Amino acid sequence: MRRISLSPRLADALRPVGAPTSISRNPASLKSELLMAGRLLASRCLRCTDEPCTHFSDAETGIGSRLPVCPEPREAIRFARSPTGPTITQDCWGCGLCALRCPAGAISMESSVAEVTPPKLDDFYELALGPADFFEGRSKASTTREWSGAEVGLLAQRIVDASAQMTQEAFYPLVQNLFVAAGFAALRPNRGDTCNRVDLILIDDESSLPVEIKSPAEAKTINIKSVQQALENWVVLSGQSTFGFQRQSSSLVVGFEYPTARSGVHELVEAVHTSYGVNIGLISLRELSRLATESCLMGARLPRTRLSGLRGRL
Amino acid sequence: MRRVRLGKEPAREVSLPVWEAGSKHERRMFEPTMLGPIASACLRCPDAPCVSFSDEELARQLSVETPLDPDPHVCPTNAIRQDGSGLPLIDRECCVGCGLCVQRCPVGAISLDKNDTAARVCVPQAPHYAPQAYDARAFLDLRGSLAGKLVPEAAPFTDAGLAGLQQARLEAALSKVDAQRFYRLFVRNVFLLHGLPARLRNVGDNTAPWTELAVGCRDTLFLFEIEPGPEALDAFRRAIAGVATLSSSGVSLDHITPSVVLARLPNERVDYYRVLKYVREALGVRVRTLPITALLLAVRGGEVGLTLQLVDACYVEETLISLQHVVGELFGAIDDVEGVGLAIIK
Repeated sequence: MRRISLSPRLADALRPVGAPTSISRNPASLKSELLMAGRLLASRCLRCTDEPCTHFSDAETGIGSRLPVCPEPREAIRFARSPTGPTITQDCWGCGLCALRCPAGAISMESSVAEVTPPKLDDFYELALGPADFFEGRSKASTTREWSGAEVGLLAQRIVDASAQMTQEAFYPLVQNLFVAAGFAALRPNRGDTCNRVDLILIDDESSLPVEIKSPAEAKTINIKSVQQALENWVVLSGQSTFGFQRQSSSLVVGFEYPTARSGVHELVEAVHTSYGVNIGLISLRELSRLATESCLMGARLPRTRLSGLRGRL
Repeated sequence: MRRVRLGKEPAREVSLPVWEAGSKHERRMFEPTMLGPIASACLRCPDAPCVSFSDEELARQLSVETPLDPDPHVCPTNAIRQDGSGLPLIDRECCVGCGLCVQRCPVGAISLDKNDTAARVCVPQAPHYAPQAYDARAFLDLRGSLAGKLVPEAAPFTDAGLAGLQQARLEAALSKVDAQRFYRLFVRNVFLLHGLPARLRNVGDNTAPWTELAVGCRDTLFLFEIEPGPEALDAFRRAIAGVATLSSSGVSLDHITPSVVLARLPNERVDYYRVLKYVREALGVRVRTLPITALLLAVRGGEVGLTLQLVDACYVEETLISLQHVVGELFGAIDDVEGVGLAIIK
């Protein structure tokens, strides 16, 4: 990596938090320097004020509430706004979602839990540059890190490993977060809300997709029962006018693994299509993790139509 | 003198002979010409209709081929068996008082009073009959001629009334036995009792994944999913998936009637009735809801037969009141329908 020495003006701009901020600067020049600095400082926490490692933005979730990235109910990653960046608590089970989200690649998954590479104490771009320049610079900086398919696959595998024993308390939020990370606005109705007994809804103005989730603690593979529930979810969504809905939209099942050939699940999916014209789509956690990681790290988004017309496995 | 009721006539006083051991009446009571208003007692039938269904009854064909149902037991809790002499013994610990064996006895020798928690057999007071004295054909002729002419010693079965049907009592009794097995066998046996071909899927058998119980006549196949617990929606889901599986194998949707048999009807909070409505609107499938109480009544109802038309009428959505109405229609011949409705709702 090429070493770049910061100009006195940029160095001055990058004072620690709390330092005097009355800096006169030339935005255009600062911006170009930031781009180089971003390259230089890649893999270090930038202390982003929008906190992408801890929360999805409202635009991403589409539901107007700050959805935590960490699927652990106690939120194992917290942005303490400290000079050292976010802290990882003991509750971390190493799913790697926060690492996927970090635009600077500053969270490593080398060990079984997430680890944050702290910022340099005088790195605080946003305060110095103003939000607009900072975010533009950051988006360019983050694309400088090239992820290989193998690395992405490894992170997806981490998510699979971490979730192998999960009960629904942990698994449902994980699936929700993976969908959001993959670029699908996902809403999880409240538990006690009998009007929305669907586990998860990929909301859309025109065709929302209901998702039935089977945690590994309930069943390792997608089973007949989950397909039956998916059919009911489809029926419930069709009967309600709360979400945009189209008859040809699929009803999805997410389980830890795909069903075996002898389970009868594929036959039932076909029978439901033949008899009722309803598509039931099956997605394994491995597949979903791959979609999420590729979307976050390689910008490879699955087109919505692939899910909305899915029948059988992805 | 005891108070008994003869057939449909009002109760009246008749004298009942008491048979003494070794008396001259031995065996003579079975001469058809001598039949009067006499108490019925166990005939010790060699084919034991109170214990088992015959192969012919079990083998009746449905319109769709399913494997033969191997369980011939009449009693859903296996509480009744024949001893060495052919006399049925009822295990009062296991008997839940469903009344199937009572209705199966061709001569009314098994009774279930409203005060009884278990069925009991009227044992002949003298060794008046020896099955060996008749060949099989002669025995069946004799039994046929007796049917309807003997007077049950205990109060007639329909008089057991609805007091005996309290759900709580049944549930208390079921806590002692395999409830899952009870419900499966009970529901099938009620249909067999009413002369309808019925097949139960064996547990773990995947050859007919579309139903737990199929009851059929020529045009329509009724599929039943049976739910002994509170998970009404589970049974409901299985039912609509079963319809899909059967229909995709070539049976027209118009010829399939899906039903769920529930031990307890769901309350409004469970959302059951709303989903029922959505399914009718979105898939065009009407899933019937049959409370187990209705089937208990069908066993006890005497002259009220259970037909598939009645099951067909058990479609309700959204309100419990209308289900109460349906049951009232079904069993209109029974006086105490109000009480039935209450038992169902609870």
